Amino acid sequence: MRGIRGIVGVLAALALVAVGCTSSPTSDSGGGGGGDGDDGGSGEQVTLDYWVFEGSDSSFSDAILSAFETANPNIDVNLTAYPENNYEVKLNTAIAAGKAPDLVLVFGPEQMRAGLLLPLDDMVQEQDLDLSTYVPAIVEPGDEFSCNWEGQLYCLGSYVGSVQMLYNKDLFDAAGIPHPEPWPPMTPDEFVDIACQLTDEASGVWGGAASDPLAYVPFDMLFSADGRTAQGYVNGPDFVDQFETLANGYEQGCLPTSNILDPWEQGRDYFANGQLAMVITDFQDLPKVENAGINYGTTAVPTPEGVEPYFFVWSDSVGVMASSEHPDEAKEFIAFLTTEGQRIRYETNGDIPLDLAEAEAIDWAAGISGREEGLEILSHARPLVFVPTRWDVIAPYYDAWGFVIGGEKSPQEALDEAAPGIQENLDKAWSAWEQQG
Amino acid sequence: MTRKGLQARKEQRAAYLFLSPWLIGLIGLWLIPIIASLLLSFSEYDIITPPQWLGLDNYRELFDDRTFWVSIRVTLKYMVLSVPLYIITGLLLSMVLNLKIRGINMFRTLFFLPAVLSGVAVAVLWVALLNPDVGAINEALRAVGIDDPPRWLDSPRWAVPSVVLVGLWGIGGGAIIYLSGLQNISAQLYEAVELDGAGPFQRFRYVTLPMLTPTLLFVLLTSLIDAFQVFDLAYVLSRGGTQGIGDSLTFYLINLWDEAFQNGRYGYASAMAWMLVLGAAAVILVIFKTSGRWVYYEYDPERER
Repeated sequence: MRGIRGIVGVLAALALVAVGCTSSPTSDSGGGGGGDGDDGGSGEQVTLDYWVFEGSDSSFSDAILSAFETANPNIDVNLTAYPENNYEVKLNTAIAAGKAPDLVLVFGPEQMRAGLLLPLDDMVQEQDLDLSTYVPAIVEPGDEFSCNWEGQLYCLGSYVGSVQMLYNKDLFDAAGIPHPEPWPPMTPDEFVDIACQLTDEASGVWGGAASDPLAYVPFDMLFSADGRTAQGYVNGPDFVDQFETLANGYEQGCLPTSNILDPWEQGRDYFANGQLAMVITDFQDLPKVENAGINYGTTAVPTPEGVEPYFFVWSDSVGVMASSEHPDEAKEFIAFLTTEGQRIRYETNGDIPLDLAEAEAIDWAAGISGREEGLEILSHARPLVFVPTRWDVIAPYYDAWGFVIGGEKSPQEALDEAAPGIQENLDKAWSAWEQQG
Repeated sequence: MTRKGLQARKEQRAAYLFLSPWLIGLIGLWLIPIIASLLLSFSEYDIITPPQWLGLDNYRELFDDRTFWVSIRVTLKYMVLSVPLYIITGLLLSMVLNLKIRGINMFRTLFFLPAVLSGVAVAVLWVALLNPDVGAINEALRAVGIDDPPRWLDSPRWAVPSVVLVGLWGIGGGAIIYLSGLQNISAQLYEAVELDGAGPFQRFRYVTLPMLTPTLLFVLLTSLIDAFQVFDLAYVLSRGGTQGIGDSLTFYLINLWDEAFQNGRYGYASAMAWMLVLGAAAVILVIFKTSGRWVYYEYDPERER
């Protein structure tokens, strides 16, 4: 009996050690404002660990790593890809284990605020980068896609992505519908109306595709100006109206549901095949559409009357972990990514450089009207109301949309049911945000 | 110490030495993580910063957490629908597979095949089949005149039944277990009741079913444990753990996974894990306690006395 008690005691002690034996990465790494390390020096062979999302642009990754390593023979970059859903978990686990990579994708201000990333302002000065021509939504303070937190820059990327609407000019001409201007955008009512005019079931052509109202309706309509109240906004008359408008489009058979095609994943494919007259999708991968011979135009996403238009803008923002043992080399990689990397990205994927001056220098638009319109729209990008963990907060919204599309509830009923859940999530998100601060 | 005692101690040491790899694995990979998770359930832990002791706060929060109760309701609904259905269909299938007809081995193989396929692959297949707009099942239902077929995974009412339906795909695995039980029933018992004039139903009622009760107990317990632990099927069917329309696919382990890996609340998730252990243990205990009344063992020491 005494022997058994002894064994249990040892096990409990071991378990306590296992639980207690975690170190705060910030205490190891020197904190958010940590200075550069003095390692790496001149000529020392260094390996940088760089974690990316699985499925992301392998041709670009291969090209940029090859080019960077050629330009910097003493630096090897070890690329590892993780599924996007698991990326944050993998990263947090690695941080807890003290094995975080050197270079990471930045997907929100949480990492910057927690001091997990190194500021890059010194690198920007040393490299003499002119950020005034970079897309402001990325380099100036804004929403969760911005690399700027409290006046310091923590990440940079090689391209700018955005949500815009492509339309097939030939289908518009055949139906006698005037081409929309790139800016200001049409209203959602106009979008659904035109989609219904252009839908041709016999030819297998859908008039338009949009996943759900939030593909184009600004989040400002769901929250108060300070981002802390959703009740009354989510289920207010303005947003309910947007639900009804798009739901009508589905009901009339003018728009395919996400069960038939996903505008984000498949929109450009269907558009390139001439099966979609309009699609709200990522403004990327345009060569696919151009090589298919589609005569396309670009316009901003539909916006309700009286609402300032908004569209998501992002980059492949890469930051340096504060725990990196090779911060100088890691910053060199980011400098390369955001300068030479833009050209490499354009050559491999055709994406828009993050630096709009570079876009002009390489003649990204190449006289293609759809591209010129896209650049014009990009100049109107603006920041959005900040809400912590925005996509988790609005999870009940997707339930509401599912009920409406399934014909089980009216938009008002569905949103009235979703609003308390969204408000509860919002309160928890702000509480967690303030505790973290 | 006697020579015999020394020899015994030597043998004991040798035994522990041979057992040590297994013991190290048991302690390091099972016991320590279990104790660690118990301690974490009383803490707040986000994996980046050290755990902070909270006492019973995580457990108290569970009782006020709407999603916690939703996940219990969804899991219980799944359990109530699936366990009896799988037991009954598995038994019926095994009785058919027990027939002595030509080619029966081929049928046994065919019915068992789905059970060896990857659960994720099967679930991905069924997501496509159950697509409410373009899936094969609804296309077939529309073809036979059902204009408004269920929206399956997109419907709060049909979401859990859809998961149950998908689980039927693997019923062959359970049928094989029943089959081995059926084949262990002595033919003499059937001969005896046939001599007494028993028909097919009476043979089933008075011989097959009682003799199968130990197998039924095993299948009941494993089915209940599987129902408590349903995750991979629900995760894929809900297209990445989105919990389905109106939380209709918020199974307990999906919710636990969300709290741990989406919300970074490992302490809270550990508390949920322990509540699951306690709940499952209570159910299993009740079954064991009552099994004496309905499970028939050929050798029963109590009866022998």
